[in-house]
Amino acid sequence: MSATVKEELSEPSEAEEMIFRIVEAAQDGIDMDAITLMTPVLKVIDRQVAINSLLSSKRLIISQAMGGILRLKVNTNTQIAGSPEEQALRDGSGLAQLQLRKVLKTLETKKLIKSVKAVGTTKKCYMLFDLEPDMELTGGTFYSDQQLDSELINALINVSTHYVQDRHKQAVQSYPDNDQMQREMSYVRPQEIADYISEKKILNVPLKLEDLQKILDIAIVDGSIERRADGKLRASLMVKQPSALVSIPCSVCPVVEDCRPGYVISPETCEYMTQWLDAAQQI
Amino acid sequence: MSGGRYETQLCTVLVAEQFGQAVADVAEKLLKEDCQLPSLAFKLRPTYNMAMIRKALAVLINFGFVTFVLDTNKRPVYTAHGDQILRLLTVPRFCLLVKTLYGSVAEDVCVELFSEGQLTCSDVLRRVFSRNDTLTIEELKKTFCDLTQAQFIIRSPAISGVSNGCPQLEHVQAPFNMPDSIFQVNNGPGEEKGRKRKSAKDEDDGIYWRVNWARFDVYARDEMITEFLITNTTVGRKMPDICIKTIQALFKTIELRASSLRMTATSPVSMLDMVKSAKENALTLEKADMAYVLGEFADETKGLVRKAGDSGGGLFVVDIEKTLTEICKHHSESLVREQFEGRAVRIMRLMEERHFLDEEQVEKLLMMGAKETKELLYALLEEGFIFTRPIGRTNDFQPARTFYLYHVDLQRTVRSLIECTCKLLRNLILRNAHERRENKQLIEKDLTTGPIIEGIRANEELDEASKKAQIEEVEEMYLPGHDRAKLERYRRSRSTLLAAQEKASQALFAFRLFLDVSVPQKA
Repeated sequence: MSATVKEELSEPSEAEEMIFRIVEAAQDGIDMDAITLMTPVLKVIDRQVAINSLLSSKRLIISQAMGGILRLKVNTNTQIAGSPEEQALRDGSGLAQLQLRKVLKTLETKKLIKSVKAVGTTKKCYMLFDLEPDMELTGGTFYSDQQLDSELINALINVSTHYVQDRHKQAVQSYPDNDQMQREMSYVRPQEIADYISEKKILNVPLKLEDLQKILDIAIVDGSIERRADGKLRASLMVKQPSALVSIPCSVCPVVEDCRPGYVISPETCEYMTQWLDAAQQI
Repeated sequence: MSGGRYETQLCTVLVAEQFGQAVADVAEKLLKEDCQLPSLAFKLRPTYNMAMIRKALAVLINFGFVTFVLDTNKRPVYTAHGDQILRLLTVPRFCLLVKTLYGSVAEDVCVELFSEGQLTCSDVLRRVFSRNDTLTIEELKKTFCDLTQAQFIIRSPAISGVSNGCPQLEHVQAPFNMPDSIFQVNNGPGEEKGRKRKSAKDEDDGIYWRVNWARFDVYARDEMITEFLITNTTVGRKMPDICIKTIQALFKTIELRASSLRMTATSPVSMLDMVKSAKENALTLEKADMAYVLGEFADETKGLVRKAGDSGGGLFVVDIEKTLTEICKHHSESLVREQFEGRAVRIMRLMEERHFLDEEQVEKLLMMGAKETKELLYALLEEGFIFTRPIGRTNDFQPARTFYLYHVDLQRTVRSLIECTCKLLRNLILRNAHERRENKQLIEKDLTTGPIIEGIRANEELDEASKKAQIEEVEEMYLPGHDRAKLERYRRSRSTLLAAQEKASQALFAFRLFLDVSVPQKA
């Protein structure tokens, strides 16, 4: 008895995998007859069950090809439409609010569904338990508790910049006389930075390369690193000192709009300027 | 020709510093609006009478701050030129430049021209001679000729006639040619000759000279670009001397051909030409060093210095417009960083790269929270560093169906920065004048003490110890301890203020030049 149960459990999943692989291999999808031909080992009923379960788990979709033939395809659409809010669920199911809440709670405790808070909203979305919430809902790697983790971002920017700068220093040290080599050696591939970050365990989740690219883009905008045409990076050498204008108090004075000679706020009696001149005495 | 409000104020303050309040008031009225003499007199009554106004106008015209033209009704209209008045800020730099290039005699010549506006060559020589009689007239003449040849001084147009009571200025054909005979030294040097000449006319009477600002501006621009390139590149920091010389050689080479203030980039200069001009200008520079520095510049400066070809050992171009843009950006970014924070600079840089962006895009690309993005954007918008462009989905631009894209417009920003800088300069100058007024007594005391001490030092009858004692006594009497400290304080403050003023005036120069050179963005 127990053996038959096992067989029943294992066989459909094997059949599913087999069919999924066949469909995956076919670029433009595949129709039912072709699948039947390619899977002679499966029983008709098994094949049907397997395909249905693949369809219901949204791994496969049915699409209509030219001439009205129905074909099976791998579902490439990662964004799954089914993450409705409570309001939508109530409308869809026709259940009363109390009832619906109870149902949802039971489903959650049974780990059949889970609730996700989307970025920027306070409303809960519900989705099947085994689904991964999309980037649009979670906001991606850099969000924790639906909030952008700006400290993490800043830390990553700093780490990447330091890494690239270190490489430049190393290059200068190892080839003190050869500028060409210095330049060439100070270029770094983004992957190297990613490896460094995961090695140092700054993030507890694996950092995707595209996430890192976003971080690096910001560092490039900051002007601390530069990107070459082939995607390699190096520390920017155009280091700028702050403009001399900044040191003069008027440039950042909060009351500069009201400052007029001979008035209450005037350059002659300006307190900021007195402080500035006092500070200059010590130099 | 008048600029913004603060530019006018700065000009007025500058004129007041140099020529007194009366001239400044006349200048202020003219800066606000061009006008004829009667209306000017009307505006200034009853403080000033006609004679004073005329005198003030004469001063302003003499220094080139005010010009006049006949209007359609054949009445002279006076126009003030703020940009000319702002030159007063750069006088110390001009003097320093001339001194480094042609020595202190040339500086004296320029100082005379500055203090008088315009002078005949003979007068200049006589004045310099009277101050420093260790020079020979020949030496002086040569310096003057050098300056004209280098186009640092220029002839003022002569008056060719009078029409409707308004003098007509003739066009100067060869503005840098020296007259054939100047200040002929026929008989004996010194005092009596000067006296004689006062009655008799000089042979170059009527040929007036003034400082050629356009030439100086080109020089100042080149210097500014050089400095920017040096401070912002590794090679510049590693070997500043060679870099400075290289860029100087490059600019010198073009100088001989054509160098105008308005050009957007230098013409391509070949390395061979540069080596030649470096030799001519006595810049000791190895060709290999030059090649290395130029190569590094071309690699590192992101197009500020470009390699334009390979002929003649490599053709190099300095992109003036781009460099000026970078300088202005640098100033504005520094200000943003100081006023807001680093992320505001990030926003500005992003917009320079991507041009038009809405709030959400900024948020996503810079990975910032919605709230802080909004705050920073609004703050930047308020301070005039970024601007919005409304895009309406419907023709009526109904707010609900309109969205706003943010963008940077450096020219607009620079225009407002000019006003800021003018205000800042005005404040610095006023503060300096105030400090001077406050410490007037001390300064005067110090001035009287100086000669007394000198007298004691020069006194040969006294021995060292008694000299020292006497000096101390005089010092104690005139300037006791706390007064001395106060005076020292004043001096320090003054030098701080003047240094800041110098920096700010350089920034102002960069801003104005940028507006002149850069092509306006298409709206």
